[in-house]
Parts: sequence; structure tokens; C-alpha cells
Amino acid sequence: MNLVYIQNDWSIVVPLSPIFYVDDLHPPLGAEGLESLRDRMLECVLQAGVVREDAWRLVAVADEWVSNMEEHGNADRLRISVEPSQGAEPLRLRLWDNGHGFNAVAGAAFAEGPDPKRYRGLGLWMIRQATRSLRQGRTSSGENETILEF
Amino acid sequence: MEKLQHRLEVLGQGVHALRLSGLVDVFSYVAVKQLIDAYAREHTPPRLYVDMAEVQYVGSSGWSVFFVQASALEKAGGALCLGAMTDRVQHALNMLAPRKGLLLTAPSEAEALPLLLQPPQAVSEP
Repeated sequence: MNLVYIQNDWSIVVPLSPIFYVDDLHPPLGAEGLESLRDRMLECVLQAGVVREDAWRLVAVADEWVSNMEEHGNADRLRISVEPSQGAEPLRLRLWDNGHGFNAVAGAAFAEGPDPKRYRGLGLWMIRQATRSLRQGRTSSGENETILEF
Repeated sequence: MEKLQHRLEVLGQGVHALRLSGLVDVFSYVAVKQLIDAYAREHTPPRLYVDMAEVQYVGSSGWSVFFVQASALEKAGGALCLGAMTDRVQHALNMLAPRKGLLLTAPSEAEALPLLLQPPQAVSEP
């Protein structure tokens, strides 16, 4: 997995037209909000032709990211976009938040696998296992941007 | 909304089935932990088949509970086996733990029973 953290004014990956986009997520979403997000996202990406295994991974990663943001990110607004695989461009999950900057890159780099003595901490491991690259930075408008490629 | 529901049944030979339905995610993993804790306190050795056929989704917190509880039941001389997972749930487990043997699994209840009745050493990974 490739991991990159860029601190300021980043705009490396040009966005493509999304097959799923939501910009009105305000944590905490709660059980129903998170379930609704997972269901809507899965339905959209499957309808767009994403193969089901990729769709499952995408939704699982988004779920873990939102759960982590709720717990550690201190954000009150989240945005999520899914861009389809096109030519050489991979399937891409793009996430934004206005929190204090939860460093998922570092978290994923040090994430450990299943441990029979530990109840938490598998989320970043799951993200690491499910994606082939993770990039994170801050946009010029001050949002944190996380881009995951599958 | 698919809330987590559960039912405990006797399968015989000291084995029980915990039949779950719904979601095992960040909002319900504590309930699953408590269910398995309670079962283990009341049954010795604890031999538990967790029927996952009606579980639509398991998040990382849910998987953590299964990993930790499987180890705890094994230490208590029993075992925990997840069975009848949907393709989506099985895919998540494969992604999370590609190394076989971290968690005892079976395609069905019938195939889980002999695994649960074996001594723990025989079913755990060396």
C-alpha cells in the first residue's frame, strides 16, 4: 500500500465525475444514519456497475472512516465521493472533513492485524487491507482530504 | 432498520447456537460481546456456534469482538465457530484476516459441530 501525507494546499488528483456523492453528513450520524449511508452507497455503486466485491470493500472502508471521524476527527461536516475506475484511473474514494486532522495515513501505517487481546483498532487495518493507496492532505479551503484507491 | 437480534438455542452435546440477525457494527458490537460473555459464564466448557446467516454486515469493531471472544472461549476449554456467513461477510473476514485459522469458521451448522467438539488444540492454528 502506498501512503502519502501532504500538509498544505494539495490538489494532486483531479476529480472525476462521481458515481456517488454526499455532502451533508453531520456527525454523529448514529446507527440509523450510518446504516443508511452504507445502504445508499452500496446501491449507487452497484447500479453504476462496480463489481460487488469492490463495492463491499468501498462501503466497508467508508464505514470505518466515518466511524473513526466520529470518534477521533472532531468534524461537524463530512463529504464523500466515489469516482469510477476509468482507463488507467482506479476506483477512488474521496473523503473530506472539517475536523482537526485525523492522520489516517499514520494510523494505517502502524495498524496491526487481528489481536485476540484487543477489542478496537481494526478499522485502520481494514482500510489498509482493502485499499492499494491512501493519500491525505489539506485543501486550500482548509478541509482535510483523504483519497483512497482500490 | 435492521437492529441486531439474537436467539440462543441448544444444539446438543454441550454445544449451543447463538443466532444473530442484523448488523454487528460500531453500534452493536458491545451487545454481541455481552451476549458471548454471558454465555461463557453459564456454560462450561463454552462451545458456541454463531449463526451468521442473517447478519448483513460486520464492521471492524464486530470482528474484534469475534477474535477476542474466540480466544477467550478457547482458553476456557471451549471454542467459538462462526457459520453460514453471507458472501459479503465472508469477504470482509477474508480481507481482514487472510491468514486462515485465526477464527474458526464453517459453511454450516452441521460442519461446525465436529469442529466445536474437538479439543481446542485441534482447531486452533499452531
